[in-house]
Amino acid sequence: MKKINPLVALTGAALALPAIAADQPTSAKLSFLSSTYHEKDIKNSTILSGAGKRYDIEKNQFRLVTPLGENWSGDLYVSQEAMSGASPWGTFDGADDESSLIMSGATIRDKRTQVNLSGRKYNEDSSYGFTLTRSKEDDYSAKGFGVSGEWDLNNKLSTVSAGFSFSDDEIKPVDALKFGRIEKGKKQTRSFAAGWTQIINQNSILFTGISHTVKQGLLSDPYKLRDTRPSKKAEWTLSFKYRQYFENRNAALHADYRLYNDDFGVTSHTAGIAWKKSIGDKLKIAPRFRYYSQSEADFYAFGDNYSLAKTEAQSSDHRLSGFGSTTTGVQISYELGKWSMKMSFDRYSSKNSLGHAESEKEHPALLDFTLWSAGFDLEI
Amino acid sequence: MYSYMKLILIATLFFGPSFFAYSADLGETAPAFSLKSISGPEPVELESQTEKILYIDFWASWCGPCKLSFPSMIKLKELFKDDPFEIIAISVDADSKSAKKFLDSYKINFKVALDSAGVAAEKYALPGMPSSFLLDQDRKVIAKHKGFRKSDFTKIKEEIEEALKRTGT
Amino acid sequence: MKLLIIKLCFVASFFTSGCSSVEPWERGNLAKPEMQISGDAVDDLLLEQVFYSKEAASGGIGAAGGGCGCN
Repeated sequence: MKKINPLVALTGAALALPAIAADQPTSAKLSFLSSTYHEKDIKNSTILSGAGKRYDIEKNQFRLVTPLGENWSGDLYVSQEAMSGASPWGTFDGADDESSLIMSGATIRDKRTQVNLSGRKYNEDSSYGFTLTRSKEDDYSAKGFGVSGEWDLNNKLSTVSAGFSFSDDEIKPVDALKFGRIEKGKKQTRSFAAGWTQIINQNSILFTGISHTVKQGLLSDPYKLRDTRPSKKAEWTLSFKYRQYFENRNAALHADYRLYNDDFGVTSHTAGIAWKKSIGDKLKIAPRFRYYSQSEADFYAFGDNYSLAKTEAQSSDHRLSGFGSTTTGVQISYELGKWSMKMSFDRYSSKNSLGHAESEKEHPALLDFTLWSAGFDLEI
Repeated sequence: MYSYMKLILIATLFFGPSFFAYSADLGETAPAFSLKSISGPEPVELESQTEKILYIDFWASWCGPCKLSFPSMIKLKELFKDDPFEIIAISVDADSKSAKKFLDSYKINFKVALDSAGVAAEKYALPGMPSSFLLDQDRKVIAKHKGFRKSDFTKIKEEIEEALKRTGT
Repeated sequence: MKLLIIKLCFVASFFTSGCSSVEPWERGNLAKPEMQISGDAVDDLLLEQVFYSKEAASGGIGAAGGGCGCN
């Protein structure tokens, strides 16, 4: 009865794409961030069986970026998280009765460690990078790599970027025999991304990017009572990221949009906005807001259907339902010589009715969470 | 309606990019300038620099590689302190406060000028940040550097030595 | 439709001709940390992970370019 949310673990693999490259670092920087993530309990009246206490995660992240010789930089990222809580095993669609959720039992604990090692070589008008990534927890492990390139054009007014990443994941569900779960599953992810960054004028810049990801293997959630998904999934995204500086306000506006589509039938829109305001030369305050909406997967059903053959695609995962969410937060940082202290808070709330294509019935497992973070950056 | 738009469209596409009347190419006489000094009331002028080998460096507080070039320039000035050699570092920071804050971490032994409007930067048509120009005693551009890497130090040192030799000192 | 395309090109031409006027020494604002396309990597990774585990959509987070365009 351990480990209930493999999707939490899958992230290590999915984030291998090392396309995030800034200017070549000229000095080393050490970063640390400690976060507390807390999900709101599930309403007792919606629970048919199991515990209503959901996930709590404590997470620590370290990162060291350093120049290596004249033309290289190195980047070591380590994160560790401890999770505890319960998550949905399934749903029962009973007539008018509100209670429908079958939750896992009482609190379970798990730990995850992730290490990313990246290197990047800088040439006059281009740079090339690689990332190796490894993520491990009791029942899940992922190994991956990524490569990316960046080419400056037109006296660095435009930058073209492209990247490829690959991840090889393995899941060995705990208590497989006891609960009749699959004993071992494998998944491979291949992702390709390309982008164009354009300086528009002295105060604004626009990034346009596309990505295509193919996942193959066990894409079902082995911890759910009934969850059968196709063994191949193709995803596409189109993103825009716009930055505008307001000199008279000493602030930068961030506006992001992402369109996502996959062949499970999910289409989603993500829009984010942030206002990064400097007060004096030491204090920075950045309120941020994010809106997310998705349509439901073709095989999503509110209640599990046990009369359907096990090979037929079906899932009652709330994450495949049609819903929307908002995230409101603020980040504050303060500079003290070579140190920069930072703190942030975000509140996430999801609802059926917030979505652009809501599911017929709201899934009771749709969640709300809060996220607190505090840490520092140190220039060495 | 369209034809006007088409016309303007073609015009902006062809004439949009601006070309500079000035430049500071190899062998040419470097454009003159008169800029505010960061430290005192008297301006930093190019005309007043004669009979000397001159290294002009355009930099900004926001430019990463500029953090690498400053220690090298300080060393160069120290190395050639008995020779007819001068350095002028020109900040293109829009805000001189940022330039001053940047300089706080160095013991500067050469002149620093402010070009917050980018007048000199435009005359020299900087190809990148930082950009530097080595001028002989006749103000002719004898070397140009785009960007800065630590290994550039040796190259620049040799260029200065060569130039000093030619002036016969 | 044709008019729309011309209008779009019209707007785009302003952007591109505007672009060519941003010289290397004029990129002070674009070099500011708050103007980068990708934010603080640690913070980004945290949020992306959280959203990834709660929502069906993911990807498209990488970005390159921008900054001071220094050499």
